[in-house]
Amino acid sequence: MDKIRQVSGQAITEYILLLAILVSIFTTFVGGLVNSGAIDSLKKPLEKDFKYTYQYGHPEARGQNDGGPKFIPQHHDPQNFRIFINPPINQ
Amino acid sequence: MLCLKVEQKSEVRKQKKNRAGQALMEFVLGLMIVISFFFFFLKMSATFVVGNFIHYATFMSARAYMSSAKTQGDQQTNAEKVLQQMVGGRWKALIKPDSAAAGSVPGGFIGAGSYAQDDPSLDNWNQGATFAYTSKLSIYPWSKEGQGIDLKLTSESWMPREQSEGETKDTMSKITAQLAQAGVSNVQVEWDNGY
Repeated sequence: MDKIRQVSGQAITEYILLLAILVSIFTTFVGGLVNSGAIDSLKKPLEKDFKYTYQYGHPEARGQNDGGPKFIPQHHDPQNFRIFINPPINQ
Repeated sequence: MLCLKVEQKSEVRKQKKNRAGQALMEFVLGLMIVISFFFFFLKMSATFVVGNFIHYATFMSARAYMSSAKTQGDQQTNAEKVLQQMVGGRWKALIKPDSAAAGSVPGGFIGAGSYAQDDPSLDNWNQGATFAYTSKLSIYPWSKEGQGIDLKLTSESWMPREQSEGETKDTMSKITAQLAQAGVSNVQVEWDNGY
């Protein structure tokens, strides 16, 4: 009986050691993602495209504070002309 | 012999219990990741919903600013009241109003935009209400300050502003003076405020 208990303890120890290795690999992987800029590229659609779409109605539009005006249809400058094209309807 | 079998059975049960504990630990570890993603998307969805409402609030505020009143100051006050009522001090867990905005409502600004010009034929449309705020999206619930995604958003609603009653009376008196100067006596300028 005592022998069986000792084997059980060994399994737990191995489990903890394996878990430590897995956590280390995960931490290294996430750290690598952060350092490589992959997280920043994942942020871009929210921090840039969505921001400008929310503010100006188009992901490429820019206001005066963002280096524009660009694609601001109300502005008198003809360079700001833009066409809103609806996606084709598949029947 | 019987005693040995009973002991073996109880040992098998103990091992089964140990395995159940291992599964529970793995479930908890897996659940932490699942819950992180779940709450990230939940918060992002809530931020989008609030963002749409803020668009509506700036639109309503710009409408109030556009509508005529006794003075331009009254138009501004009306617009600030609408913005304050709709977004002032709300959703503190989701949004943080931009402190750099100059208006009386935190994060809000009411007045002429950067393109506004006095000439109505040019960019007279660039008057209205804006609301700037930051919404923090944490990838993990335990994210520290500076981690996660800081969404810096601005809602803009621009409409041409109608002249206030005071400005209209100024225009009326100018036209009356010009007519008198030109010696036109058969034209009378009348005040018509619509009722």
